[in-house]
Amino acid sequence: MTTATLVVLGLAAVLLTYRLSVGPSLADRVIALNGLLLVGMAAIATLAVRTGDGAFLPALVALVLVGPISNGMIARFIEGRST
Amino acid sequence: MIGEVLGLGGAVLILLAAAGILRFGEPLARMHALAKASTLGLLLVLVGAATNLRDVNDLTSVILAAVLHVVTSPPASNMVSRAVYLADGVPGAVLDEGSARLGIERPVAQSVDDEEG
Amino acid sequence: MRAGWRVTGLVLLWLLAWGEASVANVVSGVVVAGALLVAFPPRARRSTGRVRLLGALWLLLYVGGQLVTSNYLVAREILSRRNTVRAGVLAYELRRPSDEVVTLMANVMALTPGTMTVEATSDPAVLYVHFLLLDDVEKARRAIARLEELAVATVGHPASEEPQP
Repeated sequence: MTTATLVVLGLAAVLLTYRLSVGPSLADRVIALNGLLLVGMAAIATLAVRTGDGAFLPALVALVLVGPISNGMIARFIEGRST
Repeated sequence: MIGEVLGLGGAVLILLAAAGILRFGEPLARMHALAKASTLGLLLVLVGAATNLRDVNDLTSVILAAVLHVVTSPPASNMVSRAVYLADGVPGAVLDEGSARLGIERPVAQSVDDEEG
Repeated sequence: MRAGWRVTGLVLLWLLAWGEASVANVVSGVVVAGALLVAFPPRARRSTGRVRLLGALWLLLYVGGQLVTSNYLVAREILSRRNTVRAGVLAYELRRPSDEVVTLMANVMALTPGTMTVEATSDPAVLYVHFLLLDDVEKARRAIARLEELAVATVGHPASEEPQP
């Protein structure tokens, strides 16, 4: 069943990559990138279950922390750019 | 067994978030899809993974990730939504009390037969 | 003993990161937590509301139910054929203003169906909420008011029990 999970996540990644490349605005790309980060986190967790090897789980924790920080920085940038 | 079902359910929710980001017309609506579907989606994936892992180190990592994600994901969404709203607003909104109260100028939508530049 | 709770919470996160609750981990956790709280002291807030367990429980149940409903709403909107924009932003004035209530409401809004916080001001205490589908304005306002009641029941300041006029 982990195979099905990874396939579903891969499909989500394809949809998000489309939005990342098309945009049209910076905010859209940021949101798509955020989604890709989530897909990556879910993939790490699923692979840890599939292989039984939890070597990459600290990377998962690091990604969880990186997400909001980068969102905050981009949010300041978007806010200051217009008007 | 139940862990893997939860993981698949979480992945489906993340796919739902991606579909929303693809389909909705403007950034604020896409933010809705991301914030709501992905929080629960990743939570289900992590909980499902936690029930299948045996090593204590792995369990604590996954639990830590789940706790941090639920706590930090809403403020992160709020930050980006606020920036998008202050910068661009809600085009074609039914009612926008926020712009008026905050004193933000919004461009009036042009009608289709308006030729002026 | 607010500092005690803060140190305990930080030490718990530290132990989760290290993976085992050995003596060395607990001691180093207390040292790191203490150093962090000295380097970044929490701002003294004007309202010292306490977290009430019963209110928190209701809020947790409400948020859990809303989280499931919000995913259903997102799915429904994705599959619908309409493309017209029916979004809107409401400015909601809090009846019992306090920093904790605004923070709690703003964060819960990110999980409830169809709502998203876009801005919050402290003075006057107003919360600006973006609705994905703003068909019934009064119903939307009532939904926010209900959330405010739950938030006040959880972290509301006891001195301001009377609603603002």
